[in-house]
Amino acid sequence: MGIKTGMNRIILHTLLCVAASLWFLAGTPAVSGADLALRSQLLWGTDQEKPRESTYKEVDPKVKGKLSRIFKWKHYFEINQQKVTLEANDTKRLKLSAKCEIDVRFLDAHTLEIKLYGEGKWTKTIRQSVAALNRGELAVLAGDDKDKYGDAWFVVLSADRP
Amino acid sequence: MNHEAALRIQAWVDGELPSPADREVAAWVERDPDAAALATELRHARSALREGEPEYSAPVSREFYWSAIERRIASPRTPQPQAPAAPPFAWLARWFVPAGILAALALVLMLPALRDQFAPPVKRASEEVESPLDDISSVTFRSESEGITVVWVNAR
Repeated sequence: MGIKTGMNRIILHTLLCVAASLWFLAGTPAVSGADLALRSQLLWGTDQEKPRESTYKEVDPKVKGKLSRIFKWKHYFEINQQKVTLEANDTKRLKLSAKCEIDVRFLDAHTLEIKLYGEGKWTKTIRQSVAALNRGELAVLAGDDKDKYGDAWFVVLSADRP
Repeated sequence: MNHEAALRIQAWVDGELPSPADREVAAWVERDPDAAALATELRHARSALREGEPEYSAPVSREFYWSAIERRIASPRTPQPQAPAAPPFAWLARWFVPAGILAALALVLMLPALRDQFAPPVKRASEEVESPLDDISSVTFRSESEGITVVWVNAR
């Protein structure tokens, strides 16, 4: 009798604790600390001047400055730019051109996985520190331009900060 | 013999009738064999009950026996033994078990998030993982001063 009453009390208190926790959780907004606003840019590095008919614009000075101190090209034209907010357990595909796409997703709270697709084929996978992006670093995938000798393409990923 | 007559004979056997009625019934029993048979049967039954009933004798005198019962009724009730006093904070201890169960459940559910939270950060800002195509090679270089990591992809 005594044991049964004690067990009933424990079960009752457990249910009360669970109910209180559910009530608390229901009133708490979902934590979205892993969300990341990303900016991806497809750039064309060239020594040529911008073609007259082209609508391309020079990439922003900050990115151009970083690239110019490493690479030889005079101009870095922005072909496309896309912004996306990446959430945990979420994979986003960004089509930067007819030939260039990337998949981005969180591997964990600290690491991004970026898959590069060239002409529809999975070409390369890299992993990127989220903390480095949040510090303002750039993650760049690049290669020679097949169509224009001496030119190059760049996929630049950065944290999109206002 | 009807029921009324039988009751009258029973009262006569038990000596409960007044004297004129007593004499009438006595005369009736003498002349009527059925009434005599009933009276005889009733006498036998009475004697059987008297002799067969067990007698109980109290171990003490009647006065003492009843006075003991009287004292017991009159005396105040003896107090019930008290339950041991609950230790201080017993009400708090009642919550420990369910709270412990809940905390364990929460810990199990939050383990993946905690693992991510306290996982060591990746050592490098960026690293290559795989190149699925055979005709693709790559070179990674990093500029600490510029805060930039470049993976240069070469198509053969």
